[in-house]
Amino acid sequence: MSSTSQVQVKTTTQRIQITPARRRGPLVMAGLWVFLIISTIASIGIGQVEIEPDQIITILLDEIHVASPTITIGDFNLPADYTTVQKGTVTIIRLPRVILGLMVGAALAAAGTLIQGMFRNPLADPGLIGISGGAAFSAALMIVLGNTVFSGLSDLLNQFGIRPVPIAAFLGGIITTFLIYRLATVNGRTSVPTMLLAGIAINSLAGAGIGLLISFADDNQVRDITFWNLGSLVDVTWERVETTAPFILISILPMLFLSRQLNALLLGETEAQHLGVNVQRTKQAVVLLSALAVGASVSAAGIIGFVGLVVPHLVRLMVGPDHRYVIPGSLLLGAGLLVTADLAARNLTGGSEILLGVVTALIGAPFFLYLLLRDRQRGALI
Amino acid sequence: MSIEAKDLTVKVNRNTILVNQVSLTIHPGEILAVVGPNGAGKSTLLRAITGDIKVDSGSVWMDGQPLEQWKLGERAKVRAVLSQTSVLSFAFTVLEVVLMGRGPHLNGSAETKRDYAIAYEALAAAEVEHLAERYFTTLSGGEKQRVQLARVLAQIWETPPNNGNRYLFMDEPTNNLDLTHQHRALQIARQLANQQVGVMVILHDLNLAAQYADRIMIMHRGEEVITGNPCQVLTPQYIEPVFNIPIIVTQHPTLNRPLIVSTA
Amino acid sequence: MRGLIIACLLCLFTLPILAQETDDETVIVTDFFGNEVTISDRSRIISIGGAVTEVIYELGYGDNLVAVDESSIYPQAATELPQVGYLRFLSAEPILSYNPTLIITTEDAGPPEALEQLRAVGIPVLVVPAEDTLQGAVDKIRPIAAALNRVEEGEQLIAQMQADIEQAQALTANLEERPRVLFVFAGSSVALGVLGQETGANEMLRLAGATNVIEDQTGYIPLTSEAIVAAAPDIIVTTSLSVERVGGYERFLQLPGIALTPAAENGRIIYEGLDDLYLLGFTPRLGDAILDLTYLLHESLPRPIPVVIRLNTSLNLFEDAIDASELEDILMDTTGLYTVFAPSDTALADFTGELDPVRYVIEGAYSIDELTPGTTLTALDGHTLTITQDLLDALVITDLEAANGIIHVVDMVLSE
Repeated sequence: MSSTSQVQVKTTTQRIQITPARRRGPLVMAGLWVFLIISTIASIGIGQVEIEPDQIITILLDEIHVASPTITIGDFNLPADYTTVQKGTVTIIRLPRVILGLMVGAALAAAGTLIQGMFRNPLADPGLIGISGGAAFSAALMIVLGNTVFSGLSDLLNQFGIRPVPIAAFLGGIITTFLIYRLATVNGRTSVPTMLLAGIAINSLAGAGIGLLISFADDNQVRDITFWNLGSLVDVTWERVETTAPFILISILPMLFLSRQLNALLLGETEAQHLGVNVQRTKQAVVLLSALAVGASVSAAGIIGFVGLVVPHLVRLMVGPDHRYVIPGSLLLGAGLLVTADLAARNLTGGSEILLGVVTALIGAPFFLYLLLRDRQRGALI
Repeated sequence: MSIEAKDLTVKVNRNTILVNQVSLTIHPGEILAVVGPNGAGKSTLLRAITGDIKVDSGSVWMDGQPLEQWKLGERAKVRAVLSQTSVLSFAFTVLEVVLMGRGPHLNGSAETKRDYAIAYEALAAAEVEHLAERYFTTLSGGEKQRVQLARVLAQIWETPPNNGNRYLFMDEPTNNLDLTHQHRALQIARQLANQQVGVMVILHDLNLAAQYADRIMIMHRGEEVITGNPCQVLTPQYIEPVFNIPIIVTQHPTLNRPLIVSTA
Repeated sequence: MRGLIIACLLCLFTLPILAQETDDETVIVTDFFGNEVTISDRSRIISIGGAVTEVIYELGYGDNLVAVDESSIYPQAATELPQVGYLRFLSAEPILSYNPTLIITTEDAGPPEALEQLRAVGIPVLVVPAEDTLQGAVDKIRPIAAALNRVEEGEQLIAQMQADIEQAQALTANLEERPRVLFVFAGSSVALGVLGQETGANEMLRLAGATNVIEDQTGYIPLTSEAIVAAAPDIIVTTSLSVERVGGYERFLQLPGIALTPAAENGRIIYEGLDDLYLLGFTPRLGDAILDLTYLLHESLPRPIPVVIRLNTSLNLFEDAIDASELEDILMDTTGLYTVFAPSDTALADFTGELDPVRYVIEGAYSIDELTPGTTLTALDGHTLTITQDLLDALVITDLEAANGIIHVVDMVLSE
C-alpha cells in the first residue's frame, strides 16, 4: 500500500480535467479512420477508365471469389457486367497503386513524426537524416551510369527480376543514414545537433552529386531523374507492393511503441533519461525505423515531399503533441492524404499524370506557410 | 540505505579537472545543499551523481547497489532530477508536462485517475494549478520552472510499494523564481525530506541554504572545502576565501539558523 | 423518287462501314523484348513514339489511331488526336481509357511497369527497336508492318527510304571536302548540349557527308562555350524546336561561344524546317531528312527545282503534290530549264480541290523582270497561263534560283 506524499497544498479546488489529447483523441482517431476509408474507396473508384460502383463491387467480389448478392437500386445492379479492361484497371492498376500509396503515406508521415520528435523540432523532416538525399543520389547514379559504368551490376539485378534503380535508392538511403548516424555518434552517444548538421552537409553533397550526374546525362536521363525526384505511383505493380510491404510494415508497427519515449525526449535528453527512458536506444530505434520506412517508400515511389513534414503538424493541430495520438494519427492521415493526392495526380490532367511530389508540395507548402503565420502568436509550432 | 558518491573525479581533458575526488552521502530524510561560487563544479558533481555524465574515477551507489546496475526504469520510479533548463518546444499543456512525471509508473498503459490526482496535487504544491490548461511554451521562465518542479514532484509523489527510499536532485531550483516561490520550492523540499526523501540541492544563496539545509557542502575549484551542518560550515573561515568577499555571520532574527551578511 | 432517296441513305449508312473496314487477320510478331505479341484487332490503335506514328500513317492505318503521345508531331493529322502523355512517363489508365486494341511503342517507352500493366490487362503491346541508325529505322518499320499485316507496303517504304539515302550518298561520294559540323541540341531553355559520337545526330551527319567536330567524346555533352569556340565548326546544325526552346534564332546566336564560331560568322546555322522528330527521329522520312541535310550542308551541290522547293519552309503542301506526281523526276533532271509558280502553304491551306502541280510549271526560265501583265505562257500540261496583275500582286517570293530554273512563290491558287 503506497501512501501519498504530504506536501502541503494550498488549494485543491480546481476540477480535474483530462488532457486535451485524451479528450479529443478518440474522436479524432475515428474521424481519421473515416477519412482513410473514404479516400481509399474514392481512389479505387475514380479514374480515367469509367467504371461504375456496382461494377467495381462485382469485380472486387469476383477477385476474391465471393458470389455477388443480387441487389437492384435504380442504376445500381449487383452483380454487374464488366469488360476485361475495366476488371484489369481495378485489379492490376488501381488496387496495387492504392495499397502501396496507403503504405507509403503512412510510412512517410510516421517517420516524419519520429524524426521531429527526436530532433525536438517540429520543422524537422525525414530528409534531415539523409534518407532521401542518399536515395536520390544513388537512384540518379543508376539512371545515368546504369547502362555504362554499372552495366554489369544492373544486368545481374535484372536477371533476378530486380529493378536496379529502386534497389539502389533503398540501399543508398539506408547507407547514407547509417553514415550520418555514425558521424554523430561518439562514445556510444549520438548528438542530435551533429546529426542535423551532418545531414545538411550530406544532403548538399548528394545534391552536388546529382548535379554532376545531370551534366553527364542525356535528355531522357535528366527527365528520368526529375521524375524520380518528384515521386509517382504511376508504375506500381503487385510485385512492387509485395517487395515493399514487408519493409514498411516491419518499420511502422514498432513505431507505435515509441510514443512515451518520444514524449519524454521532448523535455530534453537528460530529462528523458531521468524519466526512465533509454535515450540512446530510442534514438537508434528512431533512426533505424525511419530509415527503413522512408527508404522502402522512396525506393517504391520516388521522393514525395511534404508528407513527412506536414502530416504530423496536422495531427498535432487536432490532438496536440502527445505521441500516443500523433503517431497513430499520422499513420492514418498520411495514408489517407497520400492516396488522395495520388487521386488528384492521376485525374487532374488527361494523358501524362502530374507528379505526385508536385501535388503534395502544391498542397503542403502553402499549408505549411499558413501554419507558420498562424502559430507565430502561440509561441511555438505545434 | 542512501546515495553514496565515493571519490568522484570528472575531467574535461588531462589538465582540466571539473570535480576532484569528491565524496558525499545523501541520506533519506535530509536536505544536502551544495554551495560554491560559479564554476566550482557543483552542477558537474550533481550530473556525475545522477549518472548523466561519465566519471573518470570514483563510483556512485544507490541503496547499496552501484548506480549503473539500476535499470533506468526502476531508477526513475524512486529518483527525480530537476534541471536548470527546459527545452520543450512542442505545445504540450502544463498538465501534460506534469503527467509525464507519472511516465515511469505507467508500464506502457494510459494514466489512471490516480495519476491525474497526483498530477493535480503536484500542480497545487508548486502553485501552478491555475496554469494546468495553458501551453507550457507560453509560460514565463519562472512559471516554467515551477511546472518542471511539479513534474518531478509527480514523479516521486508516492512512497514506493516496498517502502524504499526516494531521492530528489535539484539544480539551482530557485533560478528565475521570485522571493515567494524561491521559498516555496525549498519548503516543498523540506516537506519531502520530512517524509524521508533524500534531497540534494544546489544553491547560490547561502542564506537559503542556511535556512533549509540539514547539511551543507561548500565546493571550490572542483574540490570539497567542508561539509557539515549550517552552523559549522557557514563561517567566515570557509566562506571568505572561497567567495572572496568579507562577511559577517549572525543569528537569524527568528530562526535558529546563521545569517550571512556581506560587508564589502 | 422515294426509292432513290432510300438508296442514297443506304449508301450513306454503308459508307462509314466500308471506310472502317480493317484487316483482322491474326499475326504473331516478336517484339523488341522477344515477346510474342498476338495481334488480330487493329481497329483502335494507340501509338506512342513519333516515328511509330509516322509508320502507322504511312501504312494506311492513320484512321485507326485513337490516341498518340506528345512526340507524335507528324503528320498534321496526328497532332489533332488525343494525347496519352510523354513517352518516358506513361500511365496505364489514361491509355486504357481509350479502349485500345493494340498499342505500339518503342524500346524507349517507360516506365516498364506501365507497359507490364497494359499487357496484364490483356492489350497487345508491341515494342519496336528504336536504335538511332539507318538499320534502326528499318528495324522499326518491319515489326509494325508485320503487326498491321502490311508487310509488302512496309518493304516498299523501306526501299524508298534506302533509295533516298543512296541518292544522298551518291551526291557526296565524290566530294573532297567534308564540312566540319557541330550539332547543338536544346531539350529545354536551360538544358543545352552538343551531340558527340554514337548519337543519332552523329549518324545523320555521317549519312549526309559531314564530319562531327566532336570527335573524341560520345553521347550528349553539356554545352561549354570554350569547347565550342575551340571546335571551330564550319556549320552548326540544330533542330527548329531547339531554336524555339532557347527563345528564337537571335537568342540562339547569343548563346555562349556560338557567335565566335566560323559557322555563326558566315551565317551557316542550319535548323529551318528540321524539327526534332524529322532530324533525330529515324522515322520513315529518314531518306528525305538525309537528302535535305545533304543539300543544306553542301552549298556547292547543284539544287534542282524539287530540292529548292523541299528546302523552302513555306512550300510543304506543294512539295507533297510534286512528290506524288511524275513531275518529281522531270524536275530533278538538270538538263532542262523550268519556271515554277509555286502556291504557298497559306494559299493551299484552304484549297479543297485537286491540286495538279503540272499546271504550275512552265518550260524555260523566266525571271520576274520578264513577266508583265498580259504575258501568256504555256504550262507543261498544255494549259495557257496568262500573267495577270492579281498574280503579280500575289507573289511573295520571286526569283528563287534552282540549278534548272526559277521558282516564284505565289499566295494564290491558279484558276482553271
